[in-house]
Amino acid sequence: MDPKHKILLSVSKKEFMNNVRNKWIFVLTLIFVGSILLTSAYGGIEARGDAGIKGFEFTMRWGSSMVVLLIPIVAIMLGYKAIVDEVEAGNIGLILTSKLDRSRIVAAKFLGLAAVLSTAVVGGLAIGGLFIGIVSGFEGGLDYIYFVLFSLMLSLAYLTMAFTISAVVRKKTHALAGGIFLWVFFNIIYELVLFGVLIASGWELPDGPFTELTFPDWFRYASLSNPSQVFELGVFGILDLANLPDLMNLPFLFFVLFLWIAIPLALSSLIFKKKDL
Amino acid sequence: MSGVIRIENLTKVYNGITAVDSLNLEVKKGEVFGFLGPNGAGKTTTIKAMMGLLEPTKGKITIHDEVVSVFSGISSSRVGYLPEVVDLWDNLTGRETLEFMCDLKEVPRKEVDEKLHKVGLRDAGERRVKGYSKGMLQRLALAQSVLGEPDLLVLDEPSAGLDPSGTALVKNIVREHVTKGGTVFFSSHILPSVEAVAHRVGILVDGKLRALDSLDNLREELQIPTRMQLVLSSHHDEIKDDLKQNSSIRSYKGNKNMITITCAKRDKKKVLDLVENSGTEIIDFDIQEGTLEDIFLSFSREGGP
Repeated sequence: MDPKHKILLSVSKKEFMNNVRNKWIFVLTLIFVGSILLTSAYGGIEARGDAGIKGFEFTMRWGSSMVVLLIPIVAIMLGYKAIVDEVEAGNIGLILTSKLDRSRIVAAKFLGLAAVLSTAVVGGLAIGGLFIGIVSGFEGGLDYIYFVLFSLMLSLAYLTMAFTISAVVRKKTHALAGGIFLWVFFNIIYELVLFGVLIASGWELPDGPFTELTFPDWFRYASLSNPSQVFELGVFGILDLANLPDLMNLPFLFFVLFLWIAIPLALSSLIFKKKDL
Repeated sequence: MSGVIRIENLTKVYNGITAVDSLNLEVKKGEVFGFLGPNGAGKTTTIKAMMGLLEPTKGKITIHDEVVSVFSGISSSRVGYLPEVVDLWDNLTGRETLEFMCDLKEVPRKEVDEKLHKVGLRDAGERRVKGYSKGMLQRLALAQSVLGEPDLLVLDEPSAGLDPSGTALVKNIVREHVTKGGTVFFSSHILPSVEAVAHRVGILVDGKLRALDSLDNLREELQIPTRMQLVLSSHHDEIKDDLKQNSSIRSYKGNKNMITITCAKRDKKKVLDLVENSGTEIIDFDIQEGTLEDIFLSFSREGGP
């Protein structure tokens, strides 16, 4: 193995083991298991009138609202201090005495934290899914796998955006503030503004269930600028819940989420490469 | 001796403030170079630029003939670095920290035991770093800097937070490193530590290099006096007039049979002979040469020498 790759893996491993040791990875996995099971058992209880574990389709329908709020928080909490903490603590100078250049350090830290997040998200949702399958049957299991994959992509997108913030700021507290703003912006402000523009454009809310509404194509495409909304579009696509433009099939949405991971990661690397530490 | 570190016209400006101004410096192989200056003089900025952590606004730094920049970094295995502030990783034990650093520097992990022993942390090696005192952290950070026996050691305030035995440890590590043919560049506020080990010192004030020489030469150049305290066999009044008139003596103070004289270092012997030839006997004496502190203060004063 190339010595640089070996060093890179050492940094990733340290990052991963750090989160194993401080129990974060177990706590997060349990949070995801608990959340998906609670959603399956109690989600939409007012409408359905009874409690109890339901099948995959029902779980995804109600679980997506939970995932889209919870996963970004977890990813931001994991990623906001990834770079700034090492700089503030002075440890970055030690890592940089290795043969790793700055881009590889960002890549190494991303790999380590992505492994933690992937274990928690995939592990948590898979354990929950297994339990749901045993209780309610495995019908819709493949869709649930897509759901887990979209959840994973969403988590990694927020992780890399938190990395970008961590690369820009000089203090951990500023990174945390930036992370909170990131969550509020994509999960509240962006959607409100987009709906505001939609209403202002003359669109009127017709009668009928929300998921059956038809939105203009520009509205759907504007949603691609928000990873949380891309995830929701993905869930709509998996469950065939909405009339999406033809282009917005699952591979396309998956690719958009991939861009949401790759672009902030590249940006973090670029910023960190030039930064005075 | 060839230049291990070459700093040419280094200038670093932060938000319109010049932290380091046109610094030129060369440190040769096998040399211990002490980098001094008051707080905010630009020492850490210089060291960070040397380690590729900061991009110079102007100028160039080469280490082992390779140009350092934030893009290229430094060639690692030949440089050991102790930053001014280093918290290390809370969740790792002392041993794991050194093992991790061995992996980063591509050094065999078998060195870890020896280095833990060297810095006095053998019994604390299995404890997590989060339970370490500041002094223990500094010792561990020092241990990582010497992993793999690098050619060049760059230590930014290595004695910070250390007790006297820790300060002695720093001196030993520096001496041992140079004995093995290595080079050391270190900044410190603990002047006796610098004085004890540095071959040459550079004094940085307000980002500018105000002095660069060996301590002996600086003492001479600045005419930092040597102070002698002599206990005589008779009252000092008997010789007072002769001594005061002598041009080698810069200051004279007497009390009963004790005198305190300052003179240039090179005039020490002349002055002692003068006292003895004046008809009194020297019963006891104490000589203090101009200290690094005198030199440092002389440069740090507003306007300097």
